[in-house]
Amino acid sequence: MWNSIKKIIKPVTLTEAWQDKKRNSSFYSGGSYLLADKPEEIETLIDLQELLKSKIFINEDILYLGAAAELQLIMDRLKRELPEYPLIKAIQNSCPSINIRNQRSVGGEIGQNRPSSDVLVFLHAVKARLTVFKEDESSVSIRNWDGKGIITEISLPVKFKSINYQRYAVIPSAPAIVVITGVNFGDNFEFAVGGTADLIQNFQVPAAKWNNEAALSLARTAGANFKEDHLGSAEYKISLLETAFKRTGEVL
Amino acid sequence: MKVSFILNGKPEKADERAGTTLFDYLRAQGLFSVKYGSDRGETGADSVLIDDKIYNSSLLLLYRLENKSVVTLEYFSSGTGIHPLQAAFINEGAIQCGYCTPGLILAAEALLKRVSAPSELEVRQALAGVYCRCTGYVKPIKAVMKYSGSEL
Repeated sequence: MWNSIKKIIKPVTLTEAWQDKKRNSSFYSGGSYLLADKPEEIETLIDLQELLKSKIFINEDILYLGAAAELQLIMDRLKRELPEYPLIKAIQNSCPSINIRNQRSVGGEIGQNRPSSDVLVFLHAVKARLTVFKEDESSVSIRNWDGKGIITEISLPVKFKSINYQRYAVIPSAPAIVVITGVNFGDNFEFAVGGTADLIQNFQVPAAKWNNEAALSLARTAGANFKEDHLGSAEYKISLLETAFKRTGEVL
Repeated sequence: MKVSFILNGKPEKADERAGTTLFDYLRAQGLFSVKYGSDRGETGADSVLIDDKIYNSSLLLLYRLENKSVVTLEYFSSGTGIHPLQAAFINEGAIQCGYCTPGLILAAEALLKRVSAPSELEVRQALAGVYCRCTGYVKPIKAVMKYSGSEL
């Protein structure tokens, strides 16, 4: 029982949904994160399920995901059409439970903005774009999104020169201590780094300048946002980062 | 809030508070195969099938069930005897404390609705949302594989 919930609103349009958003209310789509936390300050849920699309399609090497598309739905579709696309593994690792993947929407995964999400790290690395509704719809890079508005669609490239995804966790189904996705866009390598850090960090390195020293330098810079905890010291995490950068760079 | 859905093959009408979860409702109806594991969906002991897909009932608000079909393990035994999948679990000794068993069987059923002869990896991934701390999954996996006629 989520005792604090007094009212559920089902807006007919996104404009109405945006206007309904007030203090003590929350947008509600998949709901797996919200229901797990059941924050007591939330009294009103604004149900977006009927307003958001869950359509998934690929057009001219761009993958379009409706914000309401559940993670399992995305996995199933990608396994059929792009079986090597690393987003499949990122989803599996972000959320090992099929029970939850059947419910969790990709829009919600982005909205939660958790650095430990392999999916979010992947979307940062490939420079996904979000269509976001506030007073009206606009497109913004996931890296520049301010966290406000209703995400309606996500678009991301599916073709790169090369791409690699590395994660280190206590066991495969545990959240990653360190997770990195690297993408070779031709002239540049783009990296996104997450895990037990405070935030997702993005780095760009000219492909011609990539070497082991660059990997160590990035590991030290990224490592500044990794603190000592029960999983290991800050130095240990920098060491993991260095290994992850090197291995990613080797593949790229 | 009012909601109409199908529960274990029969029409169900409910009128509950807005924050009522499906888990709360099912337990109140005496459907005790749906177990409390955590409120956070971490255990899968609260698993149910909704339109043949597996979900954690404690992460779903009841009002969202409008026009959907909900199945708990009780539905499996509502005929003349136990379901062959349940028998497979018994025959393999895939039960120890039994707390997670309803969730494991529903997770297996959800998989077998999609894939008739799954691989071991597919079975492992399908059961991954239900925590079993007794069996180590070896026997439940064997039970599902044998039941589906798949080779180990």
